[in-house]
Amino acid sequence: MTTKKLSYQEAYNELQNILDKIESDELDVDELTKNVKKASELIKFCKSKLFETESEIEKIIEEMDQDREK
Amino acid sequence: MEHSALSLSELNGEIKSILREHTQKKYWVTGEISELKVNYSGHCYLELIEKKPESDQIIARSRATIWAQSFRMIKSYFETTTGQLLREGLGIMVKVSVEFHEVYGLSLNITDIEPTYTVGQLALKKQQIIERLTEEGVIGMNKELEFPAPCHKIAVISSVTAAGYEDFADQLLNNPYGYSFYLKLFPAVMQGEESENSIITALDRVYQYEYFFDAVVIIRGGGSQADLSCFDSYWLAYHITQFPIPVLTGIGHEQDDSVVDLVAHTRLKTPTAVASFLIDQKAQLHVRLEEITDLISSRTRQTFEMNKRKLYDLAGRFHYVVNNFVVQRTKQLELIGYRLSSASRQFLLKKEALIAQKENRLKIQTISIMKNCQYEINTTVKLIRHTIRHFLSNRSQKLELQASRMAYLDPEHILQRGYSITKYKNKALTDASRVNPGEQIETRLYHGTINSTIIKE
Repeated sequence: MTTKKLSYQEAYNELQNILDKIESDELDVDELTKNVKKASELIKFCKSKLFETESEIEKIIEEMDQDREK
Repeated sequence: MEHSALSLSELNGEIKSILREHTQKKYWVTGEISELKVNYSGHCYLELIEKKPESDQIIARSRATIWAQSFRMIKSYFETTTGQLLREGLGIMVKVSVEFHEVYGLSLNITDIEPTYTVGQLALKKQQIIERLTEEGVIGMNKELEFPAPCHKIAVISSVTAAGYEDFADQLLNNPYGYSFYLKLFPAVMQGEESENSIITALDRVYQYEYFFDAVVIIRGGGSQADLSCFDSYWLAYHITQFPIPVLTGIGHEQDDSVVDLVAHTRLKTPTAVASFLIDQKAQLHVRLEEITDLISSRTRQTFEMNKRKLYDLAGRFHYVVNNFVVQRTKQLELIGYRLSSASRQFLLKKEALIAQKENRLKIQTISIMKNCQYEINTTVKLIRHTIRHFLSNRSQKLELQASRMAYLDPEHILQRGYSITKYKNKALTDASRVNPGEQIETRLYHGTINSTIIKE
């Protein structure tokens, strides 16, 4: 999973897709396992977006101040 | 030429008395405040104008005064009723008396005000702005933007000193769920004449980072009634409609929604309401994630349970089917075995019967054949006997005949009768040519033999 490029919305959409698939009973047990694994990664990713502060973003905000001081 | 002249004061006095005589004591007048000043002693000096509605051309102008003792009451009455500061640019309806002073000239003395007129005027103006934005097709543009998920990089336009911003930041950053937010303050003047331009400038600064921020929040601490007319400004509203990311407002006034509130993506009453909204948005995402997690896990558990049950059922059925199969096959085998043994027994019996029959027939035939043979043998033996006897008797008769015949043919007998036998070289001579003269011949007679020599043939 390429976490860097993935946006919350993309991850969420994929999650919703997986949920739809699981709910439609299309999946056999093997596929289900694979999808559930993927879903748990996506959920983890989405939660991290809700809770974790990224120093990268804070740095950008700091740089905005510097821009203005110039 | 002699002119009778009045002094200026006489003239002004004349004007004053004419005005007093020919004007009513009080008039209700409408006009727009073009200037407003309050001096140190609390007197308010204004300039009122009237414009042509279509061209904004000034068609009347007059000075006006509100004396300090009236001004305190009028101001407070006006501001509590309209929610607006008494300020330049407002249309007002006031009760005036026309005053003329010899030194200061014409002036209107304001003694009362009708705030509902201003409210109407403002409403009208606001309505016109709304109509303009609607006609231009921009009024709903910011609302149409999709609210970002998650929304956590937030540009805040507010006054640095405002308590509203502190509350907002504190509530958001210390939210009880621990959601992450990034705030960046873009300071602006939030009230008074400068505010419109100041807020627009702040928006322009945010615009430089439009790809970074998820939303813009315009907030202003509540409290005292202040000049919030900038939030009904066309240009500020227009800027907001054109803004590429959602604009949220928490301007904190109790009156009707301002035009800015109307065009904003989401309008909230106060800064804390904005903070709650943002936290709630995240909480909704969070709840949805939990829901999905639960759904997936319960669904997965269900599916596994179902599969397990299916497998168990299958195993049970398999057992039953196999058992059944074995039982059936065993029965089949037994049946076949039984049929085989009975069939073979029958077969043997049949064959035995057949053999017995054949044996019997053979016996009968043999006996019959043997009887026939016996008979034939007996007959033959009889025949042979008879034949032999016959043959023998016949032969003996023939022999007797022969013997008598033989006796008759005996050479002795013939010799007796006078016949002789000439022999040459010990063999009976039958041809005279065969002997030559000089050769010896023998002649046998019944009694004795004569030896002769051939003389002549």
